Amino acid sequence: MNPSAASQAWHPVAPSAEVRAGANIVAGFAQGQELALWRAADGSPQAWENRCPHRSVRFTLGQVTGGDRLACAYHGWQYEAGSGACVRIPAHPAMPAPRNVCAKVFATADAAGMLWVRLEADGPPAPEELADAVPAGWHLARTLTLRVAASEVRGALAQHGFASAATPDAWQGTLGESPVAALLLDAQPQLSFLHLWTDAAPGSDAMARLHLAARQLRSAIEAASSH
Amino acid sequence: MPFVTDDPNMLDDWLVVGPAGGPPRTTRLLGETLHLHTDADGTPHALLGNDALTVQSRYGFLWVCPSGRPARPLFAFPEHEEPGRRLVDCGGLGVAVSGLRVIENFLDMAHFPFVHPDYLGKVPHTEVARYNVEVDAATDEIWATDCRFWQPRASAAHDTGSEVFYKYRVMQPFSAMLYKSSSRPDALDAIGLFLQPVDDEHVIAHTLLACFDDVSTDAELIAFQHTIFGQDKPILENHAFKRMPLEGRAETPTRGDTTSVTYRRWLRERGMRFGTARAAA
Amino acid sequence: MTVRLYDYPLSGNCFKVRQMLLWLGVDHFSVPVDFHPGREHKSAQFLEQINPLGQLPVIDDEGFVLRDAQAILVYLASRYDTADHRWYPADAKLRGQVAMWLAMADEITRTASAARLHDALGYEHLDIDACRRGARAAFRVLDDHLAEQHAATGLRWLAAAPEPTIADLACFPYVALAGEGGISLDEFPALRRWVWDFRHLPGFVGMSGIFPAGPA
Repeated sequence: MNPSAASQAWHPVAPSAEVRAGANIVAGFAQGQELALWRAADGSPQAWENRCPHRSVRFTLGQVTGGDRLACAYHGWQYEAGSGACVRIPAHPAMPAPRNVCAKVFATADAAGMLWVRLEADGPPAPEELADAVPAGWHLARTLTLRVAASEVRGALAQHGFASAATPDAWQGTLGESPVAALLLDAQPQLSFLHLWTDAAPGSDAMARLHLAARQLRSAIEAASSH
Repeated sequence: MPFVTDDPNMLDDWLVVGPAGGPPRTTRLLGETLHLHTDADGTPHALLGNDALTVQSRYGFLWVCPSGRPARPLFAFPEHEEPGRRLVDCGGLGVAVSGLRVIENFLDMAHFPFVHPDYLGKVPHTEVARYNVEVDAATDEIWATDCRFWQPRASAAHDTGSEVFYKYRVMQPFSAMLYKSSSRPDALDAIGLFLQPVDDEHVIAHTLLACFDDVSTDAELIAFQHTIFGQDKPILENHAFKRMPLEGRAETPTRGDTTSVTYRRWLRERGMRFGTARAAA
Repeated sequence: MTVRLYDYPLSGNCFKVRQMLLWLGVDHFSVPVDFHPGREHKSAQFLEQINPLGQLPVIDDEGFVLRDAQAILVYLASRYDTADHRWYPADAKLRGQVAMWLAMADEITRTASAARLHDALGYEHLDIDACRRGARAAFRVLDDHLAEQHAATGLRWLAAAPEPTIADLACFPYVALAGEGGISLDEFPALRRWVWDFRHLPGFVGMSGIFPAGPA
């Protein structure tokens, strides 16, 4: 199956279940871009540049408030889900919100149990094959992080018998005898995330062996890395 | 060519390098290591390699002029000699951000209810009333006056909430003072923030209290200052870019940011480069 | 009963005791010690009368004096958590796990806290690179454990119990403050999740440098 160009634009930044409606803000990374990931109370996913437009403090220090707003930790400025527009400045409660102050918002999509983000403003919509990145009914074993560039991880996965599948960075292979779908995220120049999905049951011996094999794979890849 | 910058705003001014006196020690300034020692008669020395730097001891601190050609004398601090005031050196705390952002944070009241809740502010008392900001033509220092903010607990000596009156003063790009209501009705406490510029993105923040307080121990006064500073630290160290942008539209002030708007313009007008972010952000 | 705590606001180890006292509802008051710049904890008087190791925190519970943050947590939980027994569970396996993670807390202090003292308080006589490497190694062990345990059992805390224990409290502050020592948590997603969960426990008050959760 040839991955479409559209799917290359979408990055699997976090498991969907890790970003909870109206609750937490998770730091996300994609190709060196820092993101603040959160959901409004209605579950709609938000991926914003991790920087308040007031004084550039990271949004990840703040909190979700009122169900559909993100409040910055520094001066409490509030930004609404969807548009990212600033809707409240506590220092001037009676003043109407300024129209030109807006968080930078990236397009998001939930598919195959993952939250995906597109960095290009005018890029392609989320293609259907994202949903095929993980077989239905599989469980997340864990997100593994590796201190190497994504390009090195791709080469290593191929060497370890993984095959590239539906989307360019969805790899299929085996860890500890269990089948695995490994979704690769190019997080930072020397940091990659590998979201490992499997049909092994949670709490099973197979899952435990998968976890061990994952750590061994990480050691092998990092040891072989030139950095 | 020593020092990590050639910005005359830094090289031709007096830069704090730590407390006066004490045993011989080293410290970092503008990317270099200095050796400091004090003679028995109190004469300070600051050496960069074999070169003796221009140094003076003032207000309990050592100040170095890297170029040896200071453009102006060190700022005045009359409260330092005033009888009855306690002088407490609250120590130097390292912060990994441009010192310009640390000064701007020091001048800001709007963050009190969010960063210092139950100490310097409390939601819903978030409104910043209009205040006055001027640049003194004689000294080229920035003064913000008529500042006031509701606080549940203004300092170690205050037990109940009250509206506290503030004045702010910027003496140098890396030195500022705030004056606030004290235990005496006719006088203000002074808190000096003197930043030692280690490099464009690191400072050591020295805080000096000159206050009226006959009740608290030094440990209590220092604990309060460190509590406040420690709350600012993760904010300061989590700016998406550490250097302050003086141009462009990456950051948007609001009406209550008058002091910071004046500070940034003041820095632009004197050609400040050290600690700033250039062009597009 | 009122517990006296020799205290300093920027100490993560002191925070552990302050937070435990609050969670257990134990009356207490702090005696401020001029840790910096005064180094009062290294003064002759402090060494002779309060703690010969020259460290904080120290508690004095109506004449019963104890040093070491982890030891203090064991004592407070054993003495005052008499209704639930959840902070220091009696089950043998859980108690063994708690002890194992209390030892990890010492390793975190040795590495991540030392790195923070270097960057924030100017402690120069330590190998900062070794501290940061050691902290990253410890954090990876924690992240692996939390990620794998959650996938296997759905549990979110260090010991295999549904509620946090003193093991979590002991390991928490210097993980949460790691950035102040130049150690990034970017590469530890499970650890970041654990920090968020801990900060959002009811009654969590935080310390300077670790925000408590505000009203939603």
